[in-house]
Amino acid sequence: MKIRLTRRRAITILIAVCGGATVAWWERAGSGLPELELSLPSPGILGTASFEVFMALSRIVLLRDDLDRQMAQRLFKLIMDEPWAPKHIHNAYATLRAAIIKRNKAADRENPASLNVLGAGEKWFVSHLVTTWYLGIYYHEQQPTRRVAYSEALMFDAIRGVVPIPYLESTGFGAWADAPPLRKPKS
Amino acid sequence: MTETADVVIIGSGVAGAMCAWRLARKGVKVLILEAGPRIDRGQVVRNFMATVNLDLSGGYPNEPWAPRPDWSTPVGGYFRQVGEPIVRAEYLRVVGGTTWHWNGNAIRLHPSDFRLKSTYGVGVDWPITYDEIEPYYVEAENEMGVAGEDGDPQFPRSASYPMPPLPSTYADRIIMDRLAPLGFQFAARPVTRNSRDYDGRARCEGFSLCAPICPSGARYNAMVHVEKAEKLGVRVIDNARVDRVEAGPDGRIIAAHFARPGGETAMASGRAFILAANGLESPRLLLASADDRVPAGIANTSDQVGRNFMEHPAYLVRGLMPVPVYSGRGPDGTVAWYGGRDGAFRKTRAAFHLATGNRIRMHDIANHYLAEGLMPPELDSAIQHHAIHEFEIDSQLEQLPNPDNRVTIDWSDRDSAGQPRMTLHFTLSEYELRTSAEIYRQFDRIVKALNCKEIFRSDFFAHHHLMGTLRMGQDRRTAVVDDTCRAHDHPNLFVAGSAVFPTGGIANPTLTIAALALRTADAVSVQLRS
Repeated sequence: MKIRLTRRRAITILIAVCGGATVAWWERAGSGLPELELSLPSPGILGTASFEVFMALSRIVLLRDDLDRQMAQRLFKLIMDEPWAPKHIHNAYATLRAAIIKRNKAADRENPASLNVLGAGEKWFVSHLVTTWYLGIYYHEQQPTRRVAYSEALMFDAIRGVVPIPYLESTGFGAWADAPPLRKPKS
Repeated sequence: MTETADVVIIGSGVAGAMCAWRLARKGVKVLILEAGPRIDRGQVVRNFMATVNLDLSGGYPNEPWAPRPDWSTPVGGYFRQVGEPIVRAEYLRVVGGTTWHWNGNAIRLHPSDFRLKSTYGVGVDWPITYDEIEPYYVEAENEMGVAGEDGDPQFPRSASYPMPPLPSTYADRIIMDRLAPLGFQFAARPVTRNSRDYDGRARCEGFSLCAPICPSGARYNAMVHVEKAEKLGVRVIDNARVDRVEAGPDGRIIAAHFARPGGETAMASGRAFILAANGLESPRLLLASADDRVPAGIANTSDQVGRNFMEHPAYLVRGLMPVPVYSGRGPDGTVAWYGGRDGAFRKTRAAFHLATGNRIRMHDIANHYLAEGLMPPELDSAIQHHAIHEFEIDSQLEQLPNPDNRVTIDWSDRDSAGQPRMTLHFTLSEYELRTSAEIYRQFDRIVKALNCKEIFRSDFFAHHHLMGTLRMGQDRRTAVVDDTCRAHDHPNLFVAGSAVFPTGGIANPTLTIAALALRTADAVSVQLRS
């Protein structure tokens, strides 16, 4: 079954400012998946970006709370080599965080990054971030293109358990003759 | 420094490995010189998961002392091309050769392919017949381990395939069922992928790819026979790029001069030499070996070295089926339609076959929807829907030999190893183009019958089957080697590999390369004894 975010019901946005952290829970309605928990730390000082803020931004735009931390660290290191990275991370996160906190309504069910709240630069940056997480390949402005992850690349979430991840997984002899049980995408 | 052996083999791919193994079993002392390094399967798998080069060669070494083309090499990079369409040749220079990343299709040439001129009035005849090579086909199938289905009346067999065919993939079963009403009777592909444990290698476990590398080793590669040969005493020197073959005053080859990565040089001498590189590197070496004694190059008094290059032109179609087919589960495509490989139509147009693909193109699929601006969760749904519904049908055409389709070299332009850069002169003839149009017509019928959404139809591409260039024939004016693959000009120089093919049919060349290599090794052995 095709899952659309418009079917995702945000049942609770719990704003609990405890030491600067905001936490939100999203139910993945109809997905059969556990609810999504987003930690929303303070965006920090303008023009800076901590790893935790980068992770929070990634979780928001990818709608995932179980991102691979090692891949994230590699990606963060590469992105921070870009001169524009701290500003984009900060601004994109601060904007989306504010939008999430503001929209405490069940009607608001889209990916926060799809809301029309980001400026052109931040919108491009979020797209760049999502692309890298999905492909596992970083198209770097300062250095040659490089791979940051293989099996952790989120594109494989769409086929995990259905089609083997090339090089790593197999069906077992002859099992390829039959259709596999179809699992829904993770996000 | 001089290395010596009874037989010096240049190249360690399937042709060189088969020759070496066969000769070593007969007690012949063999030395193999391989331009590239020895590689490890596990390391190559790790390389592919670490690289951003997503083509067939991306995980394999491309060393400056043994450079090679690959899919992503810019046109004019490794070799230049004159004419169109562009051929993006792709091969490996490593111990074991290009069988590291082949797909395992082990199809015999059709009996008519050996008699094309006599039967249909086009191309040329081979100097040998299907019946003469048939016992060697059987032996090659047993050595490589071919899983196939007996009983095709077009291919008389003196023995059964060593293994039963692999079970068809789910995708292939659906495609077969839906195309049968159109008259396409798909059949099991003969493949060197184990359908049971065979020759010390485990059966296929369905790692979702055969090319660019089989992670488990269930699909044959030439390392099987490199290692068997080494156990029999064959010596393999890797990173030994042969730059020149030298002929003596009597026409006999006396040395192969080779260079190591550090630039040091050495030579190898033997009673016989077997050139077993490929359809581009073999003619290049012979042309680059020109000197005062052989000004046109080794084996080239006929001016045929480098001529009659042939590929297998190809076109493919991809679409999204109305039902999930789960491409990417199991080995690569397990069935093909061979109905277009022979018939009276070959008087005017090329033979062709159709084959299913079973690849999962996750990077391309994900990239497509990312470029469309999709975000999670729609992005995941779109990727999944596309991935499990996509199918692919590929084709493979015959190409007639044409003396103007040729390899030449240019000493004024060198590659990273200092060797003369090749120029490939290449065009398609009306004979091939008529079948290109026919394939597009068949694609239209297929897309309609499958009730699918077509998403991609390719222009010409080539299957990396480098044939011709040192062709076999009894007339020394029009051929480089005789019916035993011995050079007309040099009594102790033999050629193994698809360079000797007078015609290429539509069969992937590797099985025929192996069969001919076994036959050539027998001829070398006889000559050594005499």
